Amino acid sequence: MSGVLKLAVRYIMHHRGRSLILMSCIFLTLVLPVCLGILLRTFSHQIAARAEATPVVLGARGSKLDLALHAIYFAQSPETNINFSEVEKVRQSGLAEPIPLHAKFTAQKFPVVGTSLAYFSFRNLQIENGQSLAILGDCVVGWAVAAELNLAPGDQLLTDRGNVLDLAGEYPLKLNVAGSLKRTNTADDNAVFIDLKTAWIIEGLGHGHQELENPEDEEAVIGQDGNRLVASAAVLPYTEINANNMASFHFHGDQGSFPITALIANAVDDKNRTILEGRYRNDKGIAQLVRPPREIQELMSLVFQVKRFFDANALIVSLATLALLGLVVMLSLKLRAREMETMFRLGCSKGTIFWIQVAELGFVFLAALGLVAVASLGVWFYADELVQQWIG
Amino acid sequence: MIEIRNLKFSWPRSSFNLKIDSLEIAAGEKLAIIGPSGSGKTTLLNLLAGIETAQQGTLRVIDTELKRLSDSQRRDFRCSNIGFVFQQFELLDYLNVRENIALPFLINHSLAEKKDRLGSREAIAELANSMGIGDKLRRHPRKLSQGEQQRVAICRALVTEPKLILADEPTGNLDPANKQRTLELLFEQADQNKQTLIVVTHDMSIVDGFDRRIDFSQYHAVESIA
Repeated sequence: MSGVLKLAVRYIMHHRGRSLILMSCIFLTLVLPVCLGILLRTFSHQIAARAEATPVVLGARGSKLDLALHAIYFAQSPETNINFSEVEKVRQSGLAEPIPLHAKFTAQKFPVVGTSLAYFSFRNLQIENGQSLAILGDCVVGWAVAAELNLAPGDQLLTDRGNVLDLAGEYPLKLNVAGSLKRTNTADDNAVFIDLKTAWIIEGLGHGHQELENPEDEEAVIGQDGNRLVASAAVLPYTEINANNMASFHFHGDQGSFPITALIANAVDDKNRTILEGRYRNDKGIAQLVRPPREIQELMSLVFQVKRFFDANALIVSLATLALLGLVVMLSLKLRAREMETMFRLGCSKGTIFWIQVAELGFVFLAALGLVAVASLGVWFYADELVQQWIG
Repeated sequence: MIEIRNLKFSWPRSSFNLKIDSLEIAAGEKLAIIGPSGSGKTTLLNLLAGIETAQQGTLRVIDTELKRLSDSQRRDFRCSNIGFVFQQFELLDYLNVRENIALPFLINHSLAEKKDRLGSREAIAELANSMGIGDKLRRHPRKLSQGEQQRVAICRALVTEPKLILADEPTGNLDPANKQRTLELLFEQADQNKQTLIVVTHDMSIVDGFDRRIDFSQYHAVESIA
């Protein structure tokens, strides 16, 4: 090691506290914008890819962006829903394969998504353990749900109660875990999939309860209206669906009027997609058709506008930090003037003294940049997961 | 060894003037320069070391006319031929004793040839042993007493085997016992290596052992010192 480098290293090591503070300032100034940039780029790629994979979504009129985010990330469900009849309408049009979504409820804070098996093939979701949805009450959990809640096929998962103060509202349903999905690094990892009918049962549109025709159930019957028995409040609805009570589950009313929160229209080509869009544009009904890629593009342009503001902010902070570092270096040089004078008297050239200073600062900068590189690599390596957790 | 003729030096924008008509210092001589602050003692040392350059006159040090040398040549000349000892020791707190002694080799490439012989661990240990600080080579200056620090500074001045040692108030920060010991060490080393020793001091109690003394207190400008 040359004398210059040796002296610089010795100085840094001896004054390691000062050097560490200086290094931390540089590190923090650089690492935040760099890592945020990586995360934002990953976020942008992920959300764009997810949106591209969901070209057309139908849902209730309202915010198009909210609907798009709901359909692709199971974000908060729209305030109004469309009816299941829209599914039939799309199917009958022959323009697209309709995939219903019902994502109003949660289980252990993870969204519970009622859908059809077509969703699995549409998203290319593969079962890692167990099997797919087979019967009412089954659920298939995403990779992250299985990992976080330590769920395996055969386990049970209770849905969250929507409103604890609403005694007449939906009751939690004990779901049977039929299988878990392979990791996809998408919102599907963080979802619990159930059959649409199971979702309606959670919503209270379908239920199962004890039989009232058995003699031992007499107390639960308060009267008879024609052929129908009138039950009292003593009749308990089932909170889980199993082989013994499955047959008792039934729905009241027309299923075509049952709600779904969104509908993915999987059109075979752009032509069909455009025709479908045209139909819904002219339709004055409750449903609207949105193209998630467009909505997400608009969202991202807004996000990147905000990012530009943060970039400008980071630049100003960096310049301020640089100015402060310059001040620190100047004061340090002033404090070390005698040391420099001694070196000069001992035969050190002013150029060498300058390079010693440069090397000291250079090492601190290099160490900070090295740390920034390590942190950035770490963030880059785990960016998919971090973004998934962030928007999951 | 040193020959000064008609030397005139003044600081820019200052009334200070140093004028020496004639001064000769023989090789191996031990010279004390005494006088009050501001009389030009340290300036003379700087001129002898080639740190400052006189406006007029001749200044030959070890048969070299310093005025004819470029800045870098004067620096290399200083590094190779002159050892400095300061009042405040001026050791670098971030280097240990061994590294402080070897500092001249770290900061000047013109000593590359001497480095192998004089900058080796063994050579530095031997020098430090001769100054009584051989067991303190791994310590940092702050952990040493004042006397020990000055001995480290003397080692640093001697490590390149200079022909001329310039000491500016070397005992100014030391207690009487350390003062005496430091002077003894300087004399011993100068005698042993046949080095010329020039010491600037305020302290009249230490000047007895020198071959000659020059008193700057009588004159602001020194004339015909011989």
